Amino acid sequence: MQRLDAPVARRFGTIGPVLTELTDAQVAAGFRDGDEAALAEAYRRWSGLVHATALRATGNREDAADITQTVFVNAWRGRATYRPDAGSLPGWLLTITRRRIADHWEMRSRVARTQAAVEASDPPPAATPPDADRIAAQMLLADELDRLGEPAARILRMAFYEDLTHTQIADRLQLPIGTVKSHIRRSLDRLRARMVVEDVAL
Amino acid sequence: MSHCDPTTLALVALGEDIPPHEAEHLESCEQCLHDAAELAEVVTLGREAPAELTPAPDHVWDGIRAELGLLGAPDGSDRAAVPELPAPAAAPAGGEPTPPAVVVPMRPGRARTWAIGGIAAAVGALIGGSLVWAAKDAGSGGEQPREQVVAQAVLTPLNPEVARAGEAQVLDSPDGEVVRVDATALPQRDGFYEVWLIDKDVTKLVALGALPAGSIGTFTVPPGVSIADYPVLDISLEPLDGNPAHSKNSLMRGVLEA
Repeated sequence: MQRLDAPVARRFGTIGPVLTELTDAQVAAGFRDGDEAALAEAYRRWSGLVHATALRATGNREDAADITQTVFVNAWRGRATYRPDAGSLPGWLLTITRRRIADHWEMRSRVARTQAAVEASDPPPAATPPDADRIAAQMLLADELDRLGEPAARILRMAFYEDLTHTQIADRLQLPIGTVKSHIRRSLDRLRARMVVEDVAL
Repeated sequence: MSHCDPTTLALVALGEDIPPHEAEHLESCEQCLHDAAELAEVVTLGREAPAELTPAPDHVWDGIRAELGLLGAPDGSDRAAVPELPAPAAAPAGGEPTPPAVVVPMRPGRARTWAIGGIAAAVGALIGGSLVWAAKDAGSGGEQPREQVVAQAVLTPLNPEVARAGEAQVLDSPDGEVVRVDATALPQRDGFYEVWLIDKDVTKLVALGALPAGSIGTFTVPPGVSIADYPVLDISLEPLDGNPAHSKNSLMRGVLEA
């Protein structure tokens, strides 16, 4: 392995805005190797994904914050078990998130059953836990959409949320129709590929 | 008849009308239905997704650090580690880097893990469904601040699959130098494209980041890195294997010159 030359060492040796230049895979590798700066960067990149998933699945801010904390603590302590070849770091974090969400609902129903037993009343009908897999997939898509870059992200948002056709989008953005169609195709393929890579249940 | 055009399938997934002959094929073709249904599921998930992810409250990060017993700066800036430097792509005797001679075989496709129930129904609903056009204005295009081009390069294809050359420009912006890369001729492949700056001897390299899906992207030149020292712009195809090193599979390359 070669020595790092000065500019590169400076680049990797300082954190904050510079660390943000690292690829996801580089952050994941640092995380697995126990680099605390990589933990901070992983938190900066993916805590939103984890938290938004937990928030939608629990509907409770405090629970979502607790789950987010637990997920990152679990992940850091269990980082030796993370296998980059089996999936991305955010995908792994989401797997842990889904487990913690399942725990959360299990605990809620246990509390309800215990309470019913104490009060000698009929147990309440079990609350149906939300589909955490699907919620995780939605958040992953929101995250990936953010990473498409422009004008791809803008084009897809217009198609998703404003229900515009590709010709209308081309018109508004003053782009050739072929360019818009090509962005739509490539972006959807990329989003699909991310779903497959992360092995999200669809 | 031939399969539907991939772009047609993407438009179907979004609920757009398609030409009658393609619609006719789609109804009877399992493969195209399958692809359209997968894309439609992506569209559904996307439309269900929030416009933005709700960030965790600030105290969560403090809680994590406290629970893990981590000391030091909140952003970990006092504990930086040095990742491995990626191995250089090639080391030609001098002058401009030469293209690698190896043509890398296509990676095998990943096993699909999609549930494909109700495909026909999903696609049928999409084809037959009527759309409501939102009247919202998309907003203005946004004005670019004035930036000066300080260097540029033609990016030469190093792989027969790249149809034509791309280009890169180094711009002097108020926040420092940025590199704008246009490599729209890159083929769609598994993995992602990574943009690198390499020195003349092709012994040292700096990763600038992943090229967005449209293959047009702008990257910040890290402070302390000079284009004069790292004049070669390289785009590599990186497998999703978590290995941060250069894959040695470069698809485009050019020398940035003032």
